[in-house]
Amino acid sequence: MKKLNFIQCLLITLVIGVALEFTRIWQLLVIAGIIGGFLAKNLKTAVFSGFFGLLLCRGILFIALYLKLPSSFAMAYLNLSMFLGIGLILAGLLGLFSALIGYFSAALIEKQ
Amino acid sequence: MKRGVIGLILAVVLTVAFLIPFPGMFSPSTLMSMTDPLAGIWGSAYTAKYPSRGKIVMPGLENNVTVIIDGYGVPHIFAKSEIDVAYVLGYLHAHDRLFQMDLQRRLVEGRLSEVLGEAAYQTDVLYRILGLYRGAQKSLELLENISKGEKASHYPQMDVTLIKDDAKKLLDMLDAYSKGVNFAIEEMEKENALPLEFKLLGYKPEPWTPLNILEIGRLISWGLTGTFADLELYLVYQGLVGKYGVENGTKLLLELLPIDRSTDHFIVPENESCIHTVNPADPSKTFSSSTVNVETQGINELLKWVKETSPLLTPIRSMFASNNWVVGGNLTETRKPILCNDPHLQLVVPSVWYEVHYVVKSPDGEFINARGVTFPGIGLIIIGCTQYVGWGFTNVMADQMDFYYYKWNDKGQYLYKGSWKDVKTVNEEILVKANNGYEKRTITLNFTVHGPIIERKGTKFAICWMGEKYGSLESLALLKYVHAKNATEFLKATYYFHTPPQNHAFADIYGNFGWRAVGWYPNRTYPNGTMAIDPSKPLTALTPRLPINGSSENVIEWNVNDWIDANEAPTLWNPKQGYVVTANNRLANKTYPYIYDVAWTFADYYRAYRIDYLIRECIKEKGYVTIEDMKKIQNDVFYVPAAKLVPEIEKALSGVTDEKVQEALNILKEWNYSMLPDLVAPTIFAKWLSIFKNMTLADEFIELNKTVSGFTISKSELEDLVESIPTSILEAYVKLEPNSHWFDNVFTDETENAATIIRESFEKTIELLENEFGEDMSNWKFSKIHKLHAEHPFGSVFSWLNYPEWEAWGWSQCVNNIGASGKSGPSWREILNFKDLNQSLCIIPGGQSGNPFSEHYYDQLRMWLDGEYKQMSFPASPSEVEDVESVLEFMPG
Repeated sequence: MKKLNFIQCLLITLVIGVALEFTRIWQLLVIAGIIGGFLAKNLKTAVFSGFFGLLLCRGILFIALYLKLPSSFAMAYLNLSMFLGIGLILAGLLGLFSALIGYFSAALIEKQ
Repeated sequence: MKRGVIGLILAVVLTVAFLIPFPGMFSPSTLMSMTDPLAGIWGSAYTAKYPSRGKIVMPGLENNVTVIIDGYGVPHIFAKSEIDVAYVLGYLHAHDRLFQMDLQRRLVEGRLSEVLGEAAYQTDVLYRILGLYRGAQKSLELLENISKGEKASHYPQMDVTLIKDDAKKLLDMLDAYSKGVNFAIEEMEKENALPLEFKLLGYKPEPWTPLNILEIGRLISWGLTGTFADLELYLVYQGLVGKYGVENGTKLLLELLPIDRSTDHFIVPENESCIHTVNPADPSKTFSSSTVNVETQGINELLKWVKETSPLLTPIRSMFASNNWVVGGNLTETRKPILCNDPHLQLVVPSVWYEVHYVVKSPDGEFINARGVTFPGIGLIIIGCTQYVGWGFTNVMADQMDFYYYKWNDKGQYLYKGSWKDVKTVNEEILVKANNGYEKRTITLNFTVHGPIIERKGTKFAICWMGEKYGSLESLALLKYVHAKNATEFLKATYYFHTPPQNHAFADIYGNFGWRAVGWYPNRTYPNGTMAIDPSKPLTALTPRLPINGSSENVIEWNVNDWIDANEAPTLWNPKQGYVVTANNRLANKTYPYIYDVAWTFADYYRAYRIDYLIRECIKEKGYVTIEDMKKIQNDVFYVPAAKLVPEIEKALSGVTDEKVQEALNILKEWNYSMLPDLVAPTIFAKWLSIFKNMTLADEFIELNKTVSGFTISKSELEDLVESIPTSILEAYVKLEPNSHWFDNVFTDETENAATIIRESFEKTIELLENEFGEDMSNWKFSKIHKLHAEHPFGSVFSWLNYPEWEAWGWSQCVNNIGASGKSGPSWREILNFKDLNQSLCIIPGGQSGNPFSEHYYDQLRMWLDGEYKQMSFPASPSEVEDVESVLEFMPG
């Protein structure tokens, strides 16, 4: 199976993550991380693509939301920056852990 | 291989730890849910704004309803029936204010700890005892009984046949409103768009019911009539009696809180009599306090508990202030009445009021065009105007609450009318949110014949409060108000407004105007039927202000066969004076026979006096008043107490040479008595007044602490007590009795008088202000001590939910009464122009929406603060609405 580099894994995690966000079931984001990690060429690639893939996935949605909503939203949005930061970091961590599942699963399958 | 397996296991464990919801707000899973961009706390951003054009299919609607949301987020509802209006209003309230509604419902029901945990448990216990929800249940039963043509229990004189159909209609409206709320809840849940507070607390709202509507009504009633002041007064009384004996102790109490004040400013002018149909009072027994015998420690504990548990969540709390006045056409530029109202309540986030305008054009020809403010949770206009009649409220300060104490035996029975009676007990469960779900706690509520028992350290009182004891019909009255076609019909409808008693200023388009202290007032009688309160014997007025001996054979009780009802309440109809002013001031003099039954404690006279003065000045100058004059009066920040007392300060400081004192005095001398943010004088005077009151009164009570066995008054109780003594009473002492013993400091050998205390308190004021703001007096601007503090219930944790803390002007006892704490003030300003109602004006301190993502979260706040208004128009059709933001079509499903 062909293994992918960081950018490729990042994009795959990101695109699948954004699509899964629209299900409004955040737990499904794990799938994006696992797929990205599964395809990663090494542990480092899996870790970083998983972390930044889901972090960016949420980041992009936050920005889209920010641009879409009325001006007063900007103020409330900024007021919620603490939650915003927590949300991004947690998404990144979820991406990281799930990418590790993908990466180690791929490694075990390959060895067998 | 081994490394890979370990890595996989570790990764799975960490991921699962993320996915499994652990209890608590800060578990990774909870935080992930909360911070989800689409479904988390940001989800409520999607519903912050109504779509510019929307179609909503609503099962249960009778006909299509058009709703136009204007540029301030105010809905204009156009429907063919009031039932449909109620339905849609329920939807809109929930859309904009659901969390506020739910929190208030939980407060009333004593169920806050289900969502807030242990911190709210004691609050729940208190509210279970008070029983607002029991009162609401009784009101619902009363309405149901009347709708079936059955007699109105506890109101035997009421002819229910006149309101049977109205009661039926109201019940249908309550049902429709609840369905509208529930439809919105379902929609928001589907969209993951419940208000962010629900997401922060991690719970979902339960369906709304007609009972919940009446429960919110009870919260209003509690806010405006519920008070433990009787016990506070009793505490003071105990101390005074303990030191000086019953006679002199009573005398001293009455010196502090005179039943009749020399400064009284009556709503009913001297040369007019208020219409009433009452019979003269019967001769009665005199006030007797000899049976009073309760240890103060229990009262102290009880008051402390009530204070601690009375939550920040009671937004509908009277801060002893509200203004309304109506000027008849003879004295207005337009030759038609102008009516103004600004009820002063707590300034909270979101605003207490929700504005609405609706038009009903029914197929049978009924036409209603009404606009005003509602409480979220109640689908009826509370203050407002129709195409015929307008009205505004101030609190009467009525006494609808008494406390009873008893003789108890070893079996836990109480003595009542000569025999020992068992208390009635009811067990209730309170669910308290805990780490693993809920903890179930059972509490036992005890009742005597007079009401629920509140107890601390063995001291027990039964609370007899109108809002708990009897059902009431004010919602029916509100429904009838919008149907009134003239002021006469409006006045008839006031008969059904039981509680909380409100000064209704009203006017109609035909030029009639007036006032009535609307409400039903308990007629307190002895067992033989004679009245307990007699205006010819003012001391009897104390009877309901102190706890009543429920074990006395001569026990004083409410006579439900003989209420002082709204038709007997003081009323002015097109008064000769040409206008009526009410500002929680005294209603009438002793020629009104029930004056002490209706109410006893009134606000200081300052606001009423000032409004009256300004209206008279306008008339003197031009012969009439204008809408502009009304705006100026509502926003007036002239501080009457300063005008009355600064000359006294000048006199008292005439010999003082200290430079600092002279500098501060010069600032006061040059002052025009306006409480404006850039001035220094308001800071000096406000601080001085507080210190002056304290130095005059506190020493006597500190001494009681030391000399009367069993009597204690804590520092905070003392502060509250001093604060509660009306400023006008001290003003009268300064001017009329400068050598009163109250000015003497009991801890010094010298004998102080008013001038001494004024001087000493002034010097202390300068010292304290220097310590706080530095020696340069130009830095003591009023803005440093007076800012708005409108807080969201979660504001202490998430300050961004609060409104901005802008500089405020006005002060307690100014017409523009923004309280000293910045937490209370005019919660709604309306100026109704009966020449052309479309030229009426209004404003709320905040915005329509409780959603912090909404443009209407506080879009009216700046205007409100700056004394500006928005137009209060009455468009008769959707095409007449100006400044359209959204058009929503609601269709039957």
